[in-house]
Amino acid sequence: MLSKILVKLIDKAIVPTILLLSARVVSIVLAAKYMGINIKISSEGIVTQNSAEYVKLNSYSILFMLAMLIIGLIYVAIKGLVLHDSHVKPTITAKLFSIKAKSLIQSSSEIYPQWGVWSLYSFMLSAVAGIMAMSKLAYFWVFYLVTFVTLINTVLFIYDFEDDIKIKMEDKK
Amino acid sequence: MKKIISFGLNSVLLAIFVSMILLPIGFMGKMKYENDSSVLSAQDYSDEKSSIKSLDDPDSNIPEDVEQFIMRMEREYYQNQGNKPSTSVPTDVFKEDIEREEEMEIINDIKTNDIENQ
Repeated sequence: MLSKILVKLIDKAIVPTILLLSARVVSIVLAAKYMGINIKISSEGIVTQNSAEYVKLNSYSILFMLAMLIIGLIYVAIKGLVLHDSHVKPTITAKLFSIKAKSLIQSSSEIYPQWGVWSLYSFMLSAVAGIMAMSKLAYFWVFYLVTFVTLINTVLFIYDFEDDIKIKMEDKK
Repeated sequence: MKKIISFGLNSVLLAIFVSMILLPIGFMGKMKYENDSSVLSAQDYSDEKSSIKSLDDPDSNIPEDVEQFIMRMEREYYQNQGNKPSTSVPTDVFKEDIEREEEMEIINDIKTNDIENQ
């Protein structure tokens, strides 16, 4: 009755949501403290005293969120490219079995929803960083950096997806 | 009936997923900055909560001579802006006239002329 893919997507979205949300809050507080910027936390949200401080704080906060995103993307990319059950190397499989970590080898139905969610966050972050940069609310170099990471992730995702399809087609023959 | 329930439940799941995706992005908008810019025009500011009152505000209690002086300064400023070539560097230097005796004399002359005409 319930869509399995939707349940899986929600399940895989919990960790990145909490991670990015906490990264935003923690980065603003830490950056404000480190840079000596006064912030007020009110019902309107986090308020800085002027636009220059806002841009600085916002940019470094996006950068911190990007760092969290890169960690997540590296994790899913390693799972997809190296520990994917369709094309994992026998030596790696043997090693994982010997250290009793065979659960790290996962199927496409586990990897792709997770990679998809992280990729979605990557696209969303680059879109928001772009809008903010164009509205002069963030530095442009932050937007370029987020876009660069998004592009690399997209290429890796497509590369792994094509590889997986190719293997499955060969298996069918 | 079963299909409708299934559709409803899946719609709820989709809404949960979309809200989870949009939550960190939406939270990025919960950041603002205070706009403490000074008011350049006496007419374009009409916030009731502010201590700065507009000339048009009936409760502002601005003396007539001060009001006329401000209006004249604004008029001169906009005339200069219109005549000035398009450069960002100001060519005229603003001279502060605290005593403003000359202006007061002109205003008084206008007042006396008005009274005489009436």
